[in-house]
Formats: sequence, C-alpha cells, structure tokens
Amino acid sequence: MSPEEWNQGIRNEAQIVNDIEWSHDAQQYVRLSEKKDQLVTFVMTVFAIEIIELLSVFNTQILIPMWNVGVSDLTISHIGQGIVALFTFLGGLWLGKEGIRPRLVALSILVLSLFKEVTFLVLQPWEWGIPGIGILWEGSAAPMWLPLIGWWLVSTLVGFLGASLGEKTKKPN
Amino acid sequence: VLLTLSERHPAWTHGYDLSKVTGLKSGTLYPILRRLNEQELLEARWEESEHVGRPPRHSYQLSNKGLQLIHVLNASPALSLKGILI
Repeated sequence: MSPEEWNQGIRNEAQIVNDIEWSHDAQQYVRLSEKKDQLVTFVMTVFAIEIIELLSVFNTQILIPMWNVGVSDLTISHIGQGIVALFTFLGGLWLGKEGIRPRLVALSILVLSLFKEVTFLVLQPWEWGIPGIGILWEGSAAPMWLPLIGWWLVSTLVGFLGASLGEKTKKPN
Repeated sequence: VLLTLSERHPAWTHGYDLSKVTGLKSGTLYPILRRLNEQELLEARWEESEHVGRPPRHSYQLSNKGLQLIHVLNASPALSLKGILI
C-alpha cells in the first residue's frame, strides 16, 4: 500500500467515525504525515537528480574526447548538453516510474540548478580575489544569464516529460 | 497492537477500533501499522462501506507471518519482554 493510500485510509476513517476529537487528531496526523512524506520525497528526488547530473557530466567527460576530432567548441558544448539532457530524461523516466510526481521532478531540477548557480555566484568573487577582477566578472556574467536560464528551462522540461512518461508506464501498486 | 490483532484474528479490524482498544492516538498507532505492513506482519485492505455515500475504510488483519511472530513471542517470555522494551 502506498503512502498516499495510507493517508487516504486515515482521512476516510476520520470522516466516518463519530468521534470529533479522534477525527481531528487523525486529520492532523495525516496533514503532518503528508508534509513529512513530501519533504522526504523532495530531498530524495533532489539527491537522485544530482546523481544523474553527475553521471551525465562524467559520461560527457569520457565521451567528448573520443569525438573531439576537428569539431568546434560549440559543437562539443552541444554534444555535452545533449548527453546531460538525455540523462535528465532517462532519470525523469525512472523517477516517474518510481511514483515521483513530474512536477516534483521539475521543481527539484529547478531548485538544484538555482542552488548551484547561487553557490557559484557567491563563491566566484572569492576565487577571483585579485584586484580588477570585478570588471571581468561583470563583463562575463550578463551574457551568461540568458543561455543559462534557457538551459534550466530545457532541463526542467526534459525531466518533466521523462517523469510524465514514466508515470504513465508505472506499474499499479 | 500485535496482541489485539491476534486476539481478533481472523476478523478484520478498523483503525479507530484499534486506537480505542489499545489507547494509542492515531499519531502513534498508524506509524506502527504502516511498519507492520511493510514488514509483511500485517495485511491491510480497503473495505467498501455498507452506507451509501460513505468512503471506503481500511481494515487490518495479522498476516501468517504476524501470527507466527505472536506464537514465537508467546512461547518465549524473554523475547516478549525484549519486544516490549524495544
């Protein structure tokens, strides 16, 4: 029986019995239990997405040198992004099959991307702690934002699509 | 919870009844039931209501594995005590 079924069962029980105090207590427990389940699922999903991303980056590092014969940096970058997108899709498919909601997968990808980007932005000035580097930072940050946001959206959409497909092919409990 | 379920076996029991008999609140009882179910000691099923318009209920019964555990606990008071303490 899935956690959702357990919670639904308790909610129904609270609705059926003629004991206001018990009903109130049971409903409160369900609400807390759902929040806890959602939090645990979210953390697990973020963790899984991170593992998938690390795997895709690892694969990209292995595969790209094999193809790197007379191709431009831009092509290599596109191949790398393609591999990451493929892994994100397959990861989403797996998570969807495991019963994780597609919107939670999408949210996890977005939150993780934002977290990494903010961490990068916070840490970068320290790494570049030499005089005059502020100008370099300002010059390079602005044009990077647009493709990055576009990439987040593509990544999120790909993960969402994978999870939706996985959810459809999920075996019933 | 195990003892109450074993006393009632093979009848199916509702969560509310179990809560009242054991004196456990839902926040304590249901995690126990979920854990017993995960360990395959307890069977849980949906039960359609006899009254129209009322939602289906969950009912619970000890599984064969759960009954075996009860027999083991009954046969060995030391294990029983350990189970209670844990």
